[in-house]
Parts: sequence; structure tokens; C-alpha cells
Amino acid sequence: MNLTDALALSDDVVAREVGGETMLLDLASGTYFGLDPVGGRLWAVLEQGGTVAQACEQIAADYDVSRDQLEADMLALVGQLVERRLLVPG
Amino acid sequence: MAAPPYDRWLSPDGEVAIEFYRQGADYLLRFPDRADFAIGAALTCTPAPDVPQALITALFNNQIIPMIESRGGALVLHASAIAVDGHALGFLGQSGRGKSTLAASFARAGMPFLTDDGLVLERHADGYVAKPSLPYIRLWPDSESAVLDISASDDAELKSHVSSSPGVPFQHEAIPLRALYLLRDDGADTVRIDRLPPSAALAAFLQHAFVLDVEDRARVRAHFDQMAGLAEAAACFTLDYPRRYDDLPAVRQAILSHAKTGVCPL
Repeated sequence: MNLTDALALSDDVVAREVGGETMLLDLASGTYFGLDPVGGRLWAVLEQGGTVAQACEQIAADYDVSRDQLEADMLALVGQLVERRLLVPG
Repeated sequence: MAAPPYDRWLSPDGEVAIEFYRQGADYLLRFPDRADFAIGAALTCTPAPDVPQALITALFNNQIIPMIESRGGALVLHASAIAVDGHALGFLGQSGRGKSTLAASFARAGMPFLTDDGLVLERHADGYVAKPSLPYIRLWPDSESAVLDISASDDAELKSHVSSSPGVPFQHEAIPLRALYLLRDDGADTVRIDRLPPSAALAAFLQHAFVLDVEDRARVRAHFDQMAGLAEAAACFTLDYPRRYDDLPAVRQAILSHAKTGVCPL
């Protein structure tokens, strides 16, 4: 997974914010996942499509972390979401 | 059956409870060694040999009807419910968790039951309303003897069918939902009630809901939205309590006290 990779949500995913967490339901497997508020914010940006780098750009001002750290965190989350097929190549 | 089942429910001990098959646009629900129910324009049942009629009726009322209701868009949870001061308390749990015993215990103490197994909730502008189901409770013989003080049948393999009565009152009208309790640890020594965060409540609802066709994407999306809405709006708690019949009065008291003082108005 690279910063320049474009991503899109899987057609099989339903997302809903519940009590400050973002709950994802994978319709293909019936499995559901929970994202904490930070993960939910990242998801909200990823929902708009584009590359990982573009997503980082959008939320850089929201968090008091270095750009390197933000990109590393984003790539880690994206890697997990792609692995679970919640995100697919855009 | 040519094609494998598209869904399968397991009992707590890992046995297959229901297998879901497609038959064209219709469904066939197989309860192994008990009965097949075909659901389509018509509903037909093919019992296995020597299965008591009471068991077939129970499967129909407690499994098939909730499935059909959920298919029509209703929100149906695997829960019992009772009425206290005009409000409903629901108790979610898989089979064997104590839903019916708890509902029967409350009813015996004068608080009417709405259902012992399938709780239908309707969303209204000011909250959720719990609808009454069928006016009977199904209990294992030991529960029946201990909770209702009724001499039970000798058949330990078959739940008894206890109809409502003045001593086991039924709530005939729909009433506002006050709280939902997820029945958990049956090894607890004391009663413990904790708030269930909305995200965890949603996970619990998804595990305790009736869904006929898990591959119907549109229906499952709508179902997820329904459950998420309930998780955000309803007061939800976990309930751990000792599964000892002698403790039931104290368990009831703890729940009633909590419902009156520990639940914010919906």
C-alpha cells in the first residue's frame, strides 16, 4: 500500500456512526467492524475517494501529529481495511 | 437438497439449529430432525416423524413468524419483555440464557409479560414501542416448577407451554420501551448491571436479531440502519446475574430498582 494508491469503498460495506464510533458492516461476509473516533474520521475522508496522500492532506490540520506519523497511521488503517476488503482499489 | 444452505444458525452447544435454503424465490428453513418450513406465497410445514405437535407450533410461533415479520421490515429481537409501570423492559439472550425464566418470574410477581422470545419494536417519533406477542411462555420443566410453582411434565426434552392467566399476566397493549438488558454471564454470583455503549449495543442487536435472508443486500442494509438507530436511542445495559432460582426475587428487585433509578428517560 502506497500513498499514491487510489481507493474506494467496497460496494459491500455499510457504515454508520453510532455513539461516536463508526460501525462497518460487510454485507458479503456479514462481519461487522468498529472504528474509534480517529479511525472514523479517517474513514469519513476515505469515503470521499482519492489517494491515501489526498486523505492525509485533508485531515492534517485536525491532528497534532507529524505528517510522517499521520501517513504511517493512515497506511496502517488502510492496509487493514483493504485486507478485509472494506476498501478496494479506486 | 441440491445447493448448500446459504445461512445456518447454531445452538449454544454448537448443534445446527436452523439451515436456510433457497427454493427459487422462496425459502426453506430446516430444523434438523424436527421440521422443514417452506416460506413463499404459501407457508407449508413438513414435520419429521414423531415430532410432537407442540414443538412444531413452538417453532412456527417463535422462529418462523419472527423471520417473516423481519422480512416485512419489522425490527424483531431475540428477547423476552415485561411491563413495569406502563413501560417495557426487554431481556436479550440466545436460547438457554434465561429470557423466558426471567419473564415468567416477573409475571408471577405481577408484572405482565409481552413476549418470551421474539420482541417486536416499532420506532415512533418519541422513542420505541414494544409490541405484545403471543400470550404464553415456554419453559423447561425445572423452570416451570421453580418459578411458577406448577408441577411440571416428566418430559425434560420438551418445554412446557404456559398460557397467561391471572397468576401469570400478559400485557395486551403495546407500551413504550424503557430499557434493554443483554443477559450475559450465567456464572455470576451477584447481580451486576452496566451500561452498554451504543456500538456494543449494535453488535449485540445484530447477534440477537431475526433475519430471514442474510444475502438480501437491500434488506440487510435497512436492517443495519434499524439496529443502529435503536442502539443510539435505546437505553441498553448488560445484566449478569446468578442462575439460581432462589435468587430470582433479588434479581427482579435489582432490575426494577435499576429501571426506576438508573435509566434515563428515552
